[in-house]
Amino acid sequence: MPKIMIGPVPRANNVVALEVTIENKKVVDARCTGVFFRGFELILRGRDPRDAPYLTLRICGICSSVHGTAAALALEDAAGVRPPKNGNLLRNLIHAADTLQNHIRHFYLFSLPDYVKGPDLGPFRPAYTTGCRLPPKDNDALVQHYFQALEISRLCHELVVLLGGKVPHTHGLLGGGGTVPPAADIIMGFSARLRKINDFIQNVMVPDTYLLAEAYKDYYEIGKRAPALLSYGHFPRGENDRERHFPPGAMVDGRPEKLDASLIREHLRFSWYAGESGLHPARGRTEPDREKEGAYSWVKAPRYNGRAMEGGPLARLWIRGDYRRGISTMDRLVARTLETELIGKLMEEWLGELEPGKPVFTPFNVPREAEGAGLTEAMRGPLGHWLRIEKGRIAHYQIVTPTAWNFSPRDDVGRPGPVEEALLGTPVENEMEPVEVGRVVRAFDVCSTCSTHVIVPGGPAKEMIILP
Amino acid sequence: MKIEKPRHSMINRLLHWTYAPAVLAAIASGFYIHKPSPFWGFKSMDSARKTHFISTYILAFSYLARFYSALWDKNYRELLPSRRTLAALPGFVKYELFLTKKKPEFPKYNPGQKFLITSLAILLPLLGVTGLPLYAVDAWQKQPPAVTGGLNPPRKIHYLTGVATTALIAPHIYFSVTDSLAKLKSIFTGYK
Amino acid sequence: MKKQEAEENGAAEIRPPVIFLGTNTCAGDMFSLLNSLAPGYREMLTDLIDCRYNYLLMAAEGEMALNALEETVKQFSGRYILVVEGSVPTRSNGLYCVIGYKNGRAVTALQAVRELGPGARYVVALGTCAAFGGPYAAAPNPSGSVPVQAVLDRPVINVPGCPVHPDWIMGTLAHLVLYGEPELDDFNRPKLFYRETIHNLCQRRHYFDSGIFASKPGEPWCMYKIGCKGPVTHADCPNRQWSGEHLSWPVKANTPCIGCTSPEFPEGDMPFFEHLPDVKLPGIRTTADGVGKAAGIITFLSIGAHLAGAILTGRLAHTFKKGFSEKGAGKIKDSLRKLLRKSVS
Repeated sequence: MPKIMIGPVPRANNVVALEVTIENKKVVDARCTGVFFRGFELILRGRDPRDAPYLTLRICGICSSVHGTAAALALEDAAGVRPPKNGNLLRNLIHAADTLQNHIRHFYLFSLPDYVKGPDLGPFRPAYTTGCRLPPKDNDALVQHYFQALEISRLCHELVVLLGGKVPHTHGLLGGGGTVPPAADIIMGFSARLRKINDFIQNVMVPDTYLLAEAYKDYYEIGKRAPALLSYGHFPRGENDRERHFPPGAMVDGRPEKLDASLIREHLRFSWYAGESGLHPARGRTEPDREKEGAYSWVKAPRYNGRAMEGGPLARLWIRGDYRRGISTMDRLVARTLETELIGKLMEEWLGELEPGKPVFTPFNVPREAEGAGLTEAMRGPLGHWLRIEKGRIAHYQIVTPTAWNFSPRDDVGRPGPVEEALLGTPVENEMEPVEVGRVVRAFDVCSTCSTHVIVPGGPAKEMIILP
Repeated sequence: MKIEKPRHSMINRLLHWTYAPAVLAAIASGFYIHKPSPFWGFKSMDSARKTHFISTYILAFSYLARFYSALWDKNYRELLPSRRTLAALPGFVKYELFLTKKKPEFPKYNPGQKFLITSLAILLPLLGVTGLPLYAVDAWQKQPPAVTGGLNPPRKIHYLTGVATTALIAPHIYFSVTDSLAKLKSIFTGYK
Repeated sequence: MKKQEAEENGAAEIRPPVIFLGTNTCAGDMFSLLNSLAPGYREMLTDLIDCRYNYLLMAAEGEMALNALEETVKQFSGRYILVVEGSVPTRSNGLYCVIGYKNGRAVTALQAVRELGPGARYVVALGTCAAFGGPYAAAPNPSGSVPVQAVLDRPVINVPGCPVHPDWIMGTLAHLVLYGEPELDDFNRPKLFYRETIHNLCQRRHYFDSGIFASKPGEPWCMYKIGCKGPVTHADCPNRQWSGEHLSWPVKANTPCIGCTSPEFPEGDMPFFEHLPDVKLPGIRTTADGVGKAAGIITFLSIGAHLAGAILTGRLAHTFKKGFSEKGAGKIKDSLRKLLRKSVS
C-alpha cells in the first residue's frame, strides 16, 4: 500500500503537509499535518488587553481582520461595551472587504492552478502535467482572469485601507469600534471600488465557477461527507449584536441546532501538545511537545459535542438556508463564490447605512477582572477568541481557528478531522501527480498560518503585575 | 586676620548656579515631553522641546566643566564615598531617622550627599547617552539603539533615569534648606 | 529549451532567479506584495524577476516543489536572490517550522535557510519577522524564533514592516536587479525607504509641536499621547501611504503608529497605546508610568515624613534659630544659657 507524503502543499496560505495512503487508486487513509508552531496565546499573557486586536491580527496574513474582529468582540464582551452604529458598520465593512479579497484570491490564486494549465512562467512552472480538462479557449480565459483577479483582490484590500489605514494587519479594528469617521469622499471612494469588484464577481467569478463545476462535475461526488457543519455567525446586524446577517448554528446528523459554544472541546491525543485533553478553550492549558509519541500535527482537534465539524462558506450558506445542494469539493467551491456575491451586495447596503458626523468609537476603561468571548466567522470557518483579564492584564487567551476545525487531526477516540474524512475515497489516477488530493484539500480553504499557534503553557507564569 | 579657604570655590559656585536652573528646566520640560500637560508650565511641545534641548546643552557642558574641576582641584576626594563614609553611614542613618539626637560630625559632605553626588555623576551621562539618539535620530542610530535593539528601549531608559534623577534632586533641595542655613549660605557666598 | 539557453547566455542577468521562501510567517508580506500597483505581481514575474519558487503561490507541490528549489540552487549558484519571509524557529532543532518533506523526511526552515543562504547573490529578509524576529519572537518566544541574519554568516538586506509595504519590497527587488545593493542603514534597511522617522514626515507634526493631542483613537489630532511610536520608528508611511494606491496610513486612520518596522517590534513597543514599553523586573511587570508614579510617591512621602520628624523633634526650629552662622548660633546659645542661669538663681 503506497503511502505518499505531500509537503509542501502551497496555495493554502502558507504550508501544510499531508500523508495519504492509496489502495486501488483510491485514498484509504489521510493524515493532515500542521507543520509549524508559533505560540500566540503564550505571547499574549501579561499584555495590555487593548493590544490583543493588533497583536492577534498578526496570526494570519490573509484573514487578519477577522482575528482583529474576534479580539475586539472578546474585549468588548469583557468590558461590557458595544461600538456605536457607525463603528459596527465600519467593522462589518472591513471584515467583509477582507473576506471578498480572501474568496477571490482563494478561487483564482489558490484553487485554479489545480484545474488550469498556467502560463509558461515561474511560479506556474513546474506543475503537474495531468488532470487539466478545459479546452484551450476556456483555459486561456481563466488564466487571464487569474491576473484580473489580482487587480480586483487588490481593490478589495484598498477598501480595507480606506477604513483601516493599512492592510494586511489593519489599524481600524479596535475594541470599541472603528476609527475612520465616514465622510462623503471615503464613502464615494469605497462605493466606486466596490462596484468594480461586484461587477467582477457577478460577471467573471460566478460564470468561471460554473464553468469549472461543469467541466469537473465528478467533484460533486468527491470530497463528500455527511453534513456536520458549524457557524458562529458573523456581521452583527445592529450595534447590540442581537442578530447577525449570517446566523450562528450547527448541523448535527443532518439536523439544524442552535449554537451552544459550551459544547466545544479541544482534543490533543494526536497533536504535539502536552497537557489535559478534552477541555473547553476558555480553560484549555497545553504546552508544545514536538517529540510526543504518536502525534502528527501542530493543529489541535476541536470537537463540537464530540463531533468533527466543518466550517466555511458552505456551512454558513447551509445554516442560513441559501445553499443545500450537497457537501462535496465542488459544493465548497460553488458556495464560496455564491457567498462572495452575497457579501458584496450586503456591503452596498451597509455603506448606505453609514451616518457621517455620528461617532464611530465608544471609549471604555479596561476592567480589572473580567472574562469575554469573541465568536465570529473567518473566511474559512468559525473563529473564537476567549479572554480572561486579571489585574487589568491578559491572564488567559485562547484561540480556536477555523483551520483547527477543518484541518484537525484525529481526536482522542480516533475519529478523523473533516479534511481527513473528506479525502477518504478520493480517486488518485497517478500517484506521482496526486492532483486530486490537492483539489479536495484546497476546497476547504485551509490556512495553516492561523491554525498552528494554539497553545498555552502548563503553569501560569509567576509574575506579579502592577498597574497604576 | 587669617584668610579662610572658601567651603565652595568661586568656580564651583558659578557652575552650581549654572546647572541648577538647567536641571529644573530639563525635569519640567522632560515630564511635559513624556506626558504633555499644562501642569509642567509649557504651552506646547515646541516650547517644551526647545527648553529641554537648551537646558540639557547647558547641563551637559556644565557637567563636563564640573567634572574637570573636581579632578583639577582634587575636589573628587571630598565628593566620592570612601571606606570612612561607609563606617559613618550607620550614625548618619540613625540621625536622619530621628533615632539619636546628636548630630554626627562629618567631613565636608555627609554620606547622603556623597551618595547623591555619585549617583548624579552616573545618571546624568546615562541621560545623555539615551537622550542623544532621541534628539538626533539619524546621527545616533547605531549606538545605543543597535545595542538595545531599536529606539524605544533607550526612550524607556531615558525616562526611568530621568525619574531617578528627579527623585534625587528633590531631597537635595529639601535638605539644603532644612539642614543648615550656614551651609546653604556657603553655596552662594562661599563661606559658612 | 530556448528559454534555458537564453538564460545560460546571460539573459538571466536581466531577470534574475528569485526564491521566495516562507518560514514562520503569517504570509502577510506576500499578500502585501500582491497589492503592488505598478508594477503589479504579473509585471514583476514577466519583467523584473524569474520566480523559481514561491512558498505561497507556486503551482507545484510536494517533492516537485522542493526539487525546483534544489535545481535553482544548483543551476544558478551565486546568482539567485533568496527572499525569506518569516522568522526562523530554532527550538527542537528547527522542527517548529517544516517547509516540506524530502524522501519522507522533514526539511526544517532552519535547514533550508542555512542551505540556500550561502549560495545566494543577495539574501533579503522580507518583513519584520525575517528581519528582526517580529511578533513570534516576542517574549517568551515559545518557538525560539530568530531573524534570518542570526542563522546566516553573510550580509542580509532587511526590508521590515508588519507587513511590508508593497513598494518597499518591490523597490528593493528593483534596486537589486537594476543597480545592485541599495544603501543600507545601521539595521541593514534600505535607506531609500527607512531613512526618516514617521514623526518627522507626519502630516500631524504641527499638532504635536503645538501640543494638540488626541486622547482616544478616532480623533483627528496628534496620536502621541495614545502611544504613537512615530518618533522612534523609521519608515516613509506618511509620504508613501498604503497600499498599492497610496490611500491612507495608520495615523490618517486616526490610530497610533505601533512601530512595526523597528527592531524592537512588538516587544519594545507594547503596550501599543502607551507611550513607553512595560518595565519588567524579575517576577514583576509594570508600566513605565507605574515606576514614575511609585518613585514620585515614595519621594514625596519620605520628604514629608522627614519634615514632620524635623518639626516634631525641634530640629527644624533649631536650624533656623542657628541662622546663617555657626558662631552666631553659639552666641545665641550662650546668651540663652546666661538668661536661664539668671532666672534660676
